[in-house]
Amino acid sequence: LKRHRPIEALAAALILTACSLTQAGLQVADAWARPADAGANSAVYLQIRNRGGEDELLEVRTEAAESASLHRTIVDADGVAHMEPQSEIPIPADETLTFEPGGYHVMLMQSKNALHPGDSISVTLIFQLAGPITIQVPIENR
Amino acid sequence: MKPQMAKIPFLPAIVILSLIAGGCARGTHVWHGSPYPDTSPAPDFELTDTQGEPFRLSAQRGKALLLFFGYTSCPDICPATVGEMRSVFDQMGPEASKAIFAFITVDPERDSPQVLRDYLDKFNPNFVGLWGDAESLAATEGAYGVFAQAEDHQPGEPYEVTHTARVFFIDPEGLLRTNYALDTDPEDILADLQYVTKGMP
Repeated sequence: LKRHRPIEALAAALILTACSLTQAGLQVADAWARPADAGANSAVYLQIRNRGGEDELLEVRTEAAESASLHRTIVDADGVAHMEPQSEIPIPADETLTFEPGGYHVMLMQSKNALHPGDSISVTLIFQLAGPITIQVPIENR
Repeated sequence: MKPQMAKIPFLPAIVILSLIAGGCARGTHVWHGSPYPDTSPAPDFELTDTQGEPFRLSAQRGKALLLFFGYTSCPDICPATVGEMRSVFDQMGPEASKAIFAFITVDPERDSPQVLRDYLDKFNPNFVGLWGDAESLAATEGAYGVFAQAEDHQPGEPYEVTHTARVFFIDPEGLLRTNYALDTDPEDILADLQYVTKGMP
């Protein structure tokens, strides 16, 4: 029995990882975050694919930064950009919502450690219906 | 009725001829982004680079210049823009030495020359960081129609700066040609750069 434990543990871990990515028809995909020095700000970008009913993204948490919040960059007709904190973001049924530069993003304030390309950080998105979904976000230069 | 009938056959010829003449006079290059309808010299300014040396715009003639006003604590639009510039300069290869990308801080309180240098080095060590006192920076922003305003904050508290996020394109003769929004295709910026640097020594 002892011999099988590592395999069982691995299998359990794989199942848990798979479950954490997809819940109630929501899938979080194509996530990445920008490199940053320790103490500097960064942002996480991703896609939320909803193959179920309407939901709402309420909050985001990570141990990688002093604070993480949902933001949206708004650029007006004159090219002036400002950021608006988002208290909740609606995820319409059967749609994909993309977080991308110049739009929705998870703002990371004051990274606890330097974020280097090739590293990854753990980020938890909390949805009203689907609950928490934890993903590993690679640090990339895009 | 008769005089009008007589004039009509000449009109299409006149229209076509003037279109051809106009097209030849203007050249064939169509600037990308939001080109300025009237080409005029880019407003001159003098700020300080990250080595502490004066950087005067009018002293950069002979190189294409891309100017961006931003700040290093900006988590989204500034790194996205500087990242796009990195990709454009990478694609230029050796020709990149004929162009300058300058990042002018709108946040002199936090962006010291050293902070600017460390930030830009992560993208391209040749990128120029420009800094100045509040008065010179405000004058430069004003000259380019750039809006920049820091959020109210307590000393030491994090804050954001609302600012114009466009890249200004100045040709090697010092003329302000166009500006680009973040969603501009890097290929379009590259095309404008290649147009002005083509045939330059």
